Amino acid sequence: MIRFDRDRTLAVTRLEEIEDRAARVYDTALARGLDREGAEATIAPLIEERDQLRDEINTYDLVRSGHLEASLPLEDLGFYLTNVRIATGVSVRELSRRMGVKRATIERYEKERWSGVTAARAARVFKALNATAMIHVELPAADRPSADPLGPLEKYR
Amino acid sequence: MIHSRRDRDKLWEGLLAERARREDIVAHLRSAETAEETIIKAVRSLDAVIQAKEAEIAEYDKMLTAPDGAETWALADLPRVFVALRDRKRMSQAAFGVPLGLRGNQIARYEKIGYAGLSLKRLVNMLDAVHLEARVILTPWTEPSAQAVGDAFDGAIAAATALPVESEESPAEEAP
Repeated sequence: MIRFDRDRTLAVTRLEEIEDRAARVYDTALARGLDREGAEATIAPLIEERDQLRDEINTYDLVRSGHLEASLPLEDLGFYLTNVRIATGVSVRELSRRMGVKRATIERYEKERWSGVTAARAARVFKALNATAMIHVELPAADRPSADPLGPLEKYR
Repeated sequence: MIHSRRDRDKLWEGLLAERARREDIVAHLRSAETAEETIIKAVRSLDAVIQAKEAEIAEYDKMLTAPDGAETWALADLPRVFVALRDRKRMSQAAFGVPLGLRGNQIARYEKIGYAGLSLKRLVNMLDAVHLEARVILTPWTEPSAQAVGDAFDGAIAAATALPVESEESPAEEAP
């Protein structure tokens, strides 16, 4: 996953390298007497790698320009936290400054997709990014008997 | 400390009794010609007890509901959803703990602290275990904090005041 502009630059360079290499390998394969299909087969792994990198770059660009999903399952929250940081244009250094923690700590959290942090801490991260995450949970309907042994509870409210 | 609905109801009954006692004492004070120092002190200490109990009940009630009363929880409050779930299902702590792989006393401990301290990963697994589907709804990050709104507002005012009055009529397309 690309998490910084710097990573993106590196990814673009790598993409260009792969394309060059694929072109060379393809030409060599043809020169060695392979037909088109055979040449394409030789560069298939490179093409796969290229497509993957392209996807990553495109995703990063999309997020970087502020495109975020408005709603997603909770298990994607950690992934999302990093995306919110990218979309808000906040660097890891800046986020760590706002949170009052070491930069390495944020780095580690992002690598672990925030899986180890508590909900309270994740909420503080959103706050530091000027965002708020609410969680929608479908609870079973309150099942209260009409005999009302909980009268006080209701009355109290 | 309230650990269950039963605890809460007991506390509530105690609270009612203390409120009634307070009423009695106050009524007595009103009818008496002179206010005795010791009685006033008694009322004051009773007030402290009542307030403490009210606070404790309110704290427990808070655990049973999302802050807005709906099904949307602030992320930081989300762990408390397990307290609310057990309450809604009217299950014992032991029964509730089964799918979570926790014993009744562990559930009791967790409820005491509103399930604080769970990692996101654990939280997701636990929600899964009790078949609760949780979705994140992001308040758009483009909606800035009050501070940022203030800053942006100041900025907008600065920009507006810096512009000549005619600028309202000059089309934006012509700007370089």
